[in-house]
Amino acid sequence: MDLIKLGLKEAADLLKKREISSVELTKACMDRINSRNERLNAFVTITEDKALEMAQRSDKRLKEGNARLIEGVPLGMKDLFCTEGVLTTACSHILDGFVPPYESTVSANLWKAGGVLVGKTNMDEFAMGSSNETSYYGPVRNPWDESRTCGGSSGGSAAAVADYMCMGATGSDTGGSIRQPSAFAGIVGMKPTYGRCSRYGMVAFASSLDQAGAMCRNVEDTALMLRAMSGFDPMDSTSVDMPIENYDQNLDKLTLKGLRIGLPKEYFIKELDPEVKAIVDAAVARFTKEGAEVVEVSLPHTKYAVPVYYIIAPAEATSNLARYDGMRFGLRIEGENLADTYRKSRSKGFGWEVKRRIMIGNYTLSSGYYDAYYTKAQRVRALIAKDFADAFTQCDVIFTPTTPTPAFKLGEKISDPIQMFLNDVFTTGASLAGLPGISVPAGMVGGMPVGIQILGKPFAEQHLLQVAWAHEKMTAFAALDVKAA
Amino acid sequence: MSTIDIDLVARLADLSRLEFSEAEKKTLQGEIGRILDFISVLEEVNTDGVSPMSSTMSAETTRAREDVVTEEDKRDAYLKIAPASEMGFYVVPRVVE
Amino acid sequence: MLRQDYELVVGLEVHAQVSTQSKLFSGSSTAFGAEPNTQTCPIDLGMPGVLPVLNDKVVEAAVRTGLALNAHINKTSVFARKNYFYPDLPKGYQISQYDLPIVEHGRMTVDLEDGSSKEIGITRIHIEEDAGKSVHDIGDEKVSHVDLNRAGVPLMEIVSEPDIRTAEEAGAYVKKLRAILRFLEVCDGNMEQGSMRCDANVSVRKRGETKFGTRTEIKNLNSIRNIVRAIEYEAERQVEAIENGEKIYQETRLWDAGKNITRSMRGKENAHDYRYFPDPDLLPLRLKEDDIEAWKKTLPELPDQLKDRFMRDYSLNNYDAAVLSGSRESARFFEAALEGGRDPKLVANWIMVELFGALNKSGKDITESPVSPAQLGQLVGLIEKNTISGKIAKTVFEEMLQSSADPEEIVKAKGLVQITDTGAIEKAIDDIMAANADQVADFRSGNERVYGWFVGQVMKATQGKANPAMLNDLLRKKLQG
Repeated sequence: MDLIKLGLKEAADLLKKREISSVELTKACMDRINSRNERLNAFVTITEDKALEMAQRSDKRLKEGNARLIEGVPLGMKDLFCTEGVLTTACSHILDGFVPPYESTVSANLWKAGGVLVGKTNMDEFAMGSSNETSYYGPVRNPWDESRTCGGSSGGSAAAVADYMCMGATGSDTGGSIRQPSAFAGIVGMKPTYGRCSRYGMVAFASSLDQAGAMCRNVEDTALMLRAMSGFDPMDSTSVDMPIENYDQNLDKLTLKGLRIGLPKEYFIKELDPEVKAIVDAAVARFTKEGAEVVEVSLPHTKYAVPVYYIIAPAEATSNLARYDGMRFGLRIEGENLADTYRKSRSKGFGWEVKRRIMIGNYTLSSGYYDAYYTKAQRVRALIAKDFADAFTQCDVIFTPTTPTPAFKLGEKISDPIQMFLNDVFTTGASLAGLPGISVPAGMVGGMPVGIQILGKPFAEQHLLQVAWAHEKMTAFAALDVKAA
Repeated sequence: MSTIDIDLVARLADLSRLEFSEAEKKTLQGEIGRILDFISVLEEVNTDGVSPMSSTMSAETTRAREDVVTEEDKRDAYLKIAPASEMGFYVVPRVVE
Repeated sequence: MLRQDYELVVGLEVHAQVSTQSKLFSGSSTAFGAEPNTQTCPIDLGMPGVLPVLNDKVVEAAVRTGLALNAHINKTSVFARKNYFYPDLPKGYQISQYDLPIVEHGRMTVDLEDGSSKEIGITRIHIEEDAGKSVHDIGDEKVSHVDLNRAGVPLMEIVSEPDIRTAEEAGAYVKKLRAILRFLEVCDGNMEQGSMRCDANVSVRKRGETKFGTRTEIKNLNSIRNIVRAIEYEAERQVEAIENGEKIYQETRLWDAGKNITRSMRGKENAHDYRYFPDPDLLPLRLKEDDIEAWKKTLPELPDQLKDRFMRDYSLNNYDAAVLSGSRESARFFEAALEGGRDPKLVANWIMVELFGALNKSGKDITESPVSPAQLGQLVGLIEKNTISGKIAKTVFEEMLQSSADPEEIVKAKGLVQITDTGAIEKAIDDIMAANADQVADFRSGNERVYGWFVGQVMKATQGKANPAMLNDLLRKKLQG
């Protein structure tokens, strides 16, 4: 048995049956990480000692019959989540040496369910990027083709999961940062409805958009992991007080007959790679064969989603990143006086992409420009949310490509911010509307995986997972197998 | 093509507490200009009568907690991660009054 | 005094610390006087990823204050971020309320010493968090030391309209506001400990001018006395500057209580752009009508209601009623001293003149008064029953302040009971007239001035205990023969 290739659910079941131990599973993952991470750069911190300690505790529980939901399963944690006693940097130089004295709610939930931390995964600095090239620790390489990006900002998590370094990993999605890397890596990634997962202890990028989610190699694993990590948190004022269903238990309880699949005409644009479009068409065809209906829907404000996103996200980020001032934690570069120390610490601490977004955010928030940019963007955001609400009166789910193309080459877009932004064209809309979305592998183009995105109504996570699971059952892509394995 | 003058770049840098070389300022001037062009497409959207949406949950009310002290003194743990501290204080470059 | 041809215009911003156990957005303690940084948590320290959760007690306090100030309660208010860098501001922004505060459009009546009253508008009340404190005078002079215990402490900022026209009105406004906050038990009003702070926006204009002059904002006003003095100084300074043809700059000035001057804080002024925007970590605060109604029912009898009742029930004048209703403690003292049906006017006088005078001198609060309300009532009772004269009563009161003894005991022990026996007084008069025939003749020949000398002599003979009215009556009759 190749332990590292076990899915999360599979591994959890075998552990409960005591056919394998958490220590041997964790060691297998560690071996994989140690042999592969130098090439892929998926992890920025590897917590070998802690992982083995946690695995031993899990084995004890398993032995005593006190196993919890995902007892003993190795997981990667995006470096955006604060982990008590474990270096957390959001892949920014400004958080040099920052060891949080507190734990994020999402990670705490996963440890409470029995998860084992193998390490912190690489990401774009403060989650600002779509290719992982803005990380202070260098880009992640795509396990399918090391010359290509593994997407961003949760590129490290995507690569770690795709390359069998762990059974699942957390991601965070502000404008597509779970869905896009999942598509590029040939895995499943789900961003739940805004408010489902607590944001407490997750380093903030754009507070009204940030949402944690799960990244795994199949739908059932994703459902199980999401169930373990989400839920109401009194520490987050925007967390929703709604019960979490046993997502992984109900995946087969959907009849596809009569399912209304919405195809938004505005998403089938000229920039869309025709081969990618063919993959979406094929996925839809699988459903119609089972009795699902196709409805053409319109999301008229689609083309404004990326511009709105690139006003709102930097504005919120500018303010969220003001706390990195070298006074109470993180990097301080002493200057001649207070103002100089602020400038030196922040200028050395932040990378170019982050600095540019801080500048843009300050521009759109400053007096004289606020109404023209920020308020205007908030109004268009309302129109975008309304587009989705209207569309969902005609359909149950919306199918789109996750990205216009498969993973691009490292270095290809990093010098052109607009080109990089356009990568988010299919994902930002749902983020602005706060809707749940899942990217599932649906085919290959030029040897690289391609994903389709399924969007649902607010808090319809269970339904989305059922649709995604049904798709997985109808394809050969339950888990795309990385050749390099 | 939107242009922003170099003085505005300097003013934004000051608001941001960031410093840039002259060459970097030039680069930013170009990049910010192009991004402003890209986002100014919003001007064409008719938003009359549309309320700004600052959160997808803004129809809800913010939740409030009870007035109870739940935190204990962990000063040492917090000061330990500070760049500089003494006598229980954070030490910072002199604040000019 | 300000020159007659100028008019002063003042608006006040009062920051009142809401009396709570925990901070506005975290579970850290707000207790005063703790060791530096021992009352902080990751939320107060602005650590990455942590989030604010609103303290419901503060919402209740702000709404009740708004109701007490006859204001409009906004059913929806919004928390906004005010962005600026400062070492005592951990997040790099202060969570405050900006264009949608919780309370707007209130008013409050202030009572002035000449007996008149004036209404001052309240522009708004908003909820916000306090910043920490920078200490500059310990250790290396190149550094400051930051204590974040205050960071995140809940404040209400109460902003007045520019309706105030004299420094006295400003003082009366703050005093009245403090009384209301204390009646509501939403703020302890302790200005020395910083739980109530005041900034004043001051401008002057020529009388008859309808436009406001350029205003300056004066900070660091930590007592009512300093508020009054700072406004007086600033008004004079502005008038002088204008008369000298100088320009008034819109700027922040600091009150220097040691030197009795305001001085410019220029340098901190370079174009503040706070880039306010709604805080995405907090949803809008939406209030339910039922909650507002329920809070309305918890409002205590407020100073104005108490004052009206004092005027109506006890026939006090406006000023006396305002002073006695100015704190719950003085109102309680007054009403307790009235027990047994004393004359309210007399009791009011004794409290306001003698008791407040004595307390002031010894720096004590009315709650620390050595004389209890019952004892003061007794004393007034003795005067009313003619047991002692008003003059003797002052002697007795002095003794009460020293020993906290009952006035009846003091009167008894010292034999101060007033002589109301006509015979005894007559005998004293007769004796003195007999021994001073010349003076009697002098009076009878029309020298009225000698009358006072006779009063003195009789008082002396009776150790001051003769009832003054009776003495007067008998003496005049006998002298006139």
